[in-house]
Amino acid sequence: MTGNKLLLLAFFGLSFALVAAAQPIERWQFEEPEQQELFEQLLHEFACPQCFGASLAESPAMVAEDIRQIVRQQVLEGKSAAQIRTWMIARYGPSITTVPTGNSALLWLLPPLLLLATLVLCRYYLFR
Amino acid sequence: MSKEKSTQPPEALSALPVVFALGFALGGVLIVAALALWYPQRLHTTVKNLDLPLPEISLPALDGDREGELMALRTTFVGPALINFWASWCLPCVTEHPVLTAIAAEGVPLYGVLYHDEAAAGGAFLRQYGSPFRQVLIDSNGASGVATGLTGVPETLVIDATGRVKGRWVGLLTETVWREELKPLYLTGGGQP
Repeated sequence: MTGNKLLLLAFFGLSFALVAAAQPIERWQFEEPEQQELFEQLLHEFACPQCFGASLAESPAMVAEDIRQIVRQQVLEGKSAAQIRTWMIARYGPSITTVPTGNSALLWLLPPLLLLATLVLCRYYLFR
Repeated sequence: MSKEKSTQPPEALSALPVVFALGFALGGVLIVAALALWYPQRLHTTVKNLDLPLPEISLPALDGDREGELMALRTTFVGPALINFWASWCLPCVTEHPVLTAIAAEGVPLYGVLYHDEAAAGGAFLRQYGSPFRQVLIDSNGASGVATGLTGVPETLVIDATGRVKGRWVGLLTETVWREELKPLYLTGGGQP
């Protein structure tokens, strides 16, 4: 029993360590609160084009820093989220954003559909 | 009946965490293996369906008659041509340098962008290995890179006769990549064979 618990604890500990290893990026200050909010929303929305799974908000890559500067500049120029998104997709392709665009919106329906299917199957097999 | 329940289930339940742990471990190994197989292909890719204008920015010249002066990308980089993003701290840039020299020797206009680097270091690099570039501009904050979809160095862009970015090679440029991937784009963009 104790051995199993230790093993589980080790796994969760490792997961937390990996999450904590992702260093927070220095905060950027805007005078307008709306611009601050938009900027932070976009940083979490865009992926770093050089690294796996990291958003612009957490990536330490050189190109991520470059893109943060550009996004900041465009936010200061008063561009909307949609305009900045279009600009980024034209350069880095649709995989740069985590907001569903075009056909990929269908893909986003898949997890809820699978969950529904699982629930239906569970009901059928386990609780008939 | 109640006594049976109190003795039996703990035995059966204690196996569950082990099963979960092994499941997680196996899943992790499979994911890492899949990424390892896929990642090298992602590092070296041609992006062909591009049609971007060069950004409306000016950068300081590293070399040439106007060394140190600001030069506009749109008027300096005359297509059809190749634009190579490089840096003195970039090891693959040293490896691909002979390929760039060979491409320039074919008569293909080649321009350089010194990415996140000092003028002195870039100049020393070109003195050591020779310059295949008609003009090199210094991009110290990567703004021109992001505007053309750069992910790192080395990367090479193909621009057409109107100066629009038509393609990009991500990573080390080899003789084969030039012949099979970028040269066709360069010729389509109005380049002379």
